[in-house]
Amino acid sequence: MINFKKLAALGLAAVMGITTLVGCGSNGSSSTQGGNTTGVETKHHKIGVGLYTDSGRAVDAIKAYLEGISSEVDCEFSYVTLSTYDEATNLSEVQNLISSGCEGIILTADMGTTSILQECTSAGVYMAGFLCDYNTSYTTAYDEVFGSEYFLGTVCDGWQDSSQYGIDVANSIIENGYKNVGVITFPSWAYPNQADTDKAFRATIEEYNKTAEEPITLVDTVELQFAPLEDTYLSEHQDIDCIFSLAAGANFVYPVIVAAGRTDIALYTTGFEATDDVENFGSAGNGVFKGIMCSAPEAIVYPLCLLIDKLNGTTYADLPEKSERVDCTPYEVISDKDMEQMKTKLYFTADYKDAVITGADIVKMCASYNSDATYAALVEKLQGLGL
Amino acid sequence: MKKISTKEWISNHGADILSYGGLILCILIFSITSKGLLWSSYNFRILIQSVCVYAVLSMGAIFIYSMGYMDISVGAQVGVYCILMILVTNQTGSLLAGFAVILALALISGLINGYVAVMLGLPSIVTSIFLMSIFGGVQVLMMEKLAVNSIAIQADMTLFKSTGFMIGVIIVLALISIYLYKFTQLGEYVKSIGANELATEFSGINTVKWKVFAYAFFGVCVAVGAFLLTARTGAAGKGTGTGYAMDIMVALLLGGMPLSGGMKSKISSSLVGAFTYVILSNGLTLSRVDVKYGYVIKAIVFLAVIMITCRKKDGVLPR
Amino acid sequence: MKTNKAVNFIKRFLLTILFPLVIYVVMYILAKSKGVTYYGLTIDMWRTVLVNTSMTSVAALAIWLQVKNGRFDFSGGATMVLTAIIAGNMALKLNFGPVFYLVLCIAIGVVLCVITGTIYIVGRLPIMICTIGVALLYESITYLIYDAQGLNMMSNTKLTVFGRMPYILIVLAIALFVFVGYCYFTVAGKRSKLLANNQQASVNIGVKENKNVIQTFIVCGILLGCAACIYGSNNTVAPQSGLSTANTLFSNIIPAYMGVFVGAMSVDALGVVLAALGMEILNYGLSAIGYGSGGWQQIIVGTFMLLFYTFMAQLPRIKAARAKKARLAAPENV
Repeated sequence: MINFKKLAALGLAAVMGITTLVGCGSNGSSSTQGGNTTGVETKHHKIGVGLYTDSGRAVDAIKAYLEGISSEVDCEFSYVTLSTYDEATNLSEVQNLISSGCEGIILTADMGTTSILQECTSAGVYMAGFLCDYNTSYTTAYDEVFGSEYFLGTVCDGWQDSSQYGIDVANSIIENGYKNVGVITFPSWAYPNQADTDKAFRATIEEYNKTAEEPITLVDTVELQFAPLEDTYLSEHQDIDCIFSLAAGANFVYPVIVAAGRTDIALYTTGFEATDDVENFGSAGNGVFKGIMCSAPEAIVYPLCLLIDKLNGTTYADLPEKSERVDCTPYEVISDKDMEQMKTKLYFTADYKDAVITGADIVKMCASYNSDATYAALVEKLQGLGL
Repeated sequence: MKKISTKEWISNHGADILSYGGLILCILIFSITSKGLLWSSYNFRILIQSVCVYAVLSMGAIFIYSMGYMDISVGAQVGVYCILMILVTNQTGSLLAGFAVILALALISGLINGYVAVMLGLPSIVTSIFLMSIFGGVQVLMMEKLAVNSIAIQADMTLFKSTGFMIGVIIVLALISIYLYKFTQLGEYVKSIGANELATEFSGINTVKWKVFAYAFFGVCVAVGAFLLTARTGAAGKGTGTGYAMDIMVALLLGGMPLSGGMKSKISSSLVGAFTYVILSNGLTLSRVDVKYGYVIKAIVFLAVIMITCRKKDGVLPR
Repeated sequence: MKTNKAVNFIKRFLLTILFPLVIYVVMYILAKSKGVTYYGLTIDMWRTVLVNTSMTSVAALAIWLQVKNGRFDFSGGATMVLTAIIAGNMALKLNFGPVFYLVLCIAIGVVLCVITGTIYIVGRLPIMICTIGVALLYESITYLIYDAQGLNMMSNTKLTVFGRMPYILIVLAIALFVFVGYCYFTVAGKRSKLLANNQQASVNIGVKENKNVIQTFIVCGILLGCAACIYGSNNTVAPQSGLSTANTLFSNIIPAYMGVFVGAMSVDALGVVLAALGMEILNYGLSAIGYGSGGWQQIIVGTFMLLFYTFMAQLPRIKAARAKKARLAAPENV
């Protein structure tokens, strides 16, 4: 016989648990309609944000930023976690966002974009990208995605062409005197821009080698298949004293260096976890990390302004006809001084008061709230985001 | 007299009622917390779309789990089938050819899966790990060779991703499953294999044959599931299908399916479970619950449902 | 008689190390033919292989303990991850040394496993279902503690000594000692074997099942604590969801099952370690010849295991066939 008293108790506990937690969820994302301090009359909007992961400093910083600006820009934000490899998950999450009443959606992963955009089009919801170059869509479905009225454009994770970082790292390596350098990237078909960065890096080193007394040896580039560097890499290249990893070095390369006891190797990489890579940067800790590149959470203003304007039915006078993918200046951290500066940034502190673009700034950057605002100024603002 | 029979009925069907109860409870709570959004027509449509693949896969999986067997290779299989179907369809221009190829492959994998587990005398979960490893490898290799992140199908899938078509597929497959499960030897034998494999074998039943049949039907469902998944997103990549094996297991349990198989297994578990599973994710987003609290709620709901539906009353501890 | 014993021992010893040895030789030939110089007796190779072997073995022993006692435990991975996160962060905050970290891991592992065992006993749920639920619960907790930051301590060379050679072998030794000690030298261990073989009969003759379950879960907690200690030392541990920890578990499950065959001539625990050693040599070898990651590695390892088991499954048949042949031949000799 089933004990119904127990069942009732269990059911009640579940109900209470859920309603309490639901309370928690909505407390964090309060929105005071029209209650901003800018003096401009704003319209309330609900924006869905799909992030590529559910934890880590970058996520904390983005959420802190959006919560910080929410009252001033009069937007409330809902979050879901996307998959970087499964289309159906992303489609379902976007559908859930649309169903919860989101009028605009900002996504950080280009997976299943065509079907997501079809969904947005049929639901009349606008979509824009953030921290993602939408390269797969750009090369395979340009018309369907970039030609769509409902896709407003995207801001890349740093530069589309990050050759400059390759050159800067090469110069730093030359300056620091490393002589045996390995390069690691993700597959070039997935991240063609990494191959370009690698090319620029190699060109700079080769240029130096022409005149150098002691030239730098460059090991052939290894492509990681989205998995950690193999244990045998360091055995194969015993003499290596520096690695330039364009492929998430903190996660995929650093653990291998530590496990092999080769913390004498210098690591230049992209991405910023704000954990090991801070504690061991430059002259701190074991000093493995020598270079980091990442993008400011504030870059989200690009998709946000475009969405707000679209939802308010206004556009910049100089808005290009087709959606664009634009650069933002990334944080390039290649010295202790850079890192000290980095530690004051919103990305690191996850505190809204450190943001370089405030809610009030955003209101001024939207065409619907400021008739003088221009698209060029918005793009320009992204160029000022570096250190 | 009448009172006792009601009581008896409740005690006999308690688990059924309560597994529906989990679903009903979710619907009730989320109706309130989502401020009615759960009931919008749009939400109904996306629920069906999300449920469809889970429901199809778990209806097939019921036949495997009824035997007390397990399959964790289904995610990797789905991934390979999706890519393969797109490749064949794009190459030949015929969607039918694409589907035929993956159906044939799914049936062959079913045969291997069923036969290998029997031949090697290993727990089915271990043999399915081999298949998972091989299929996962093939999936990665295919995408490496294609050198793209995601490959899109060049056929018009509008019809196949319509809600009507999806409901149709669920109904047809549900009818077939119920028929097979309730009115044919297959259903009877998979349940008795789950209850006591040795006894079933000793009573003169060719268990190997029925196991292979069960896996073959599961194969059909996997192929249909892969088709629907492709129809939904129109694309596939190296990670398509990841996580489905576990999702199905959780969904079946939420539907009140005892993983150890046996006589208590029932088809409704797959539908109820798939709906509960999808509504949980959907409802949490609609209610704007923070992602990390969402995980806790899912875990608590899951524990609550299994505590109610899977609890063994007396005797030794269940295995 | 004495020589017989010695010969027997040598025979058993050789048969036991046969599996890793064969793989080593095959991979050696492949690696050398590809011109790989560091495969063989280099420190680099053995450091990597032994570290990976220790991690896999300890986790596999924890899984095997449960499987052997008739329980398939899905929560092992989640317990390990949660233990590593809690113990690691506590050790960092309290400025503990590595020994305290190890002790902390074991203590937390035991507590979590006892909780799992209690839920199992009180809930009277089928073990797989119960542990899936517990795995989901423990995974969700990883998001709630330490601001969902997981654990980052692998750069802390002082605290992570148990993740590296040679100290990692101490952890492996502790795990082996606990496993063998419990299974072969305690009454509780013998009782769990009884329970595994015939649950109802053992309960009928007076084995207290609940007590025994908790005892086994405590031992399992010690093993998972050891695994967590190594895992936390060598990895950045992120919060987990959607039963992803079950995959962490599955990656170690194969040596657990292989152990019975590999260790057929000795103790199953030794078999598990040697099976893990064999698999890690295979992985390292594949990596050396350029098939270490991506699709090929998965396909090769999957096919290899399938063939291994197909071969092993034939052994009883060959034995039976031989016996039959002997039986048939016997009357002629008489």
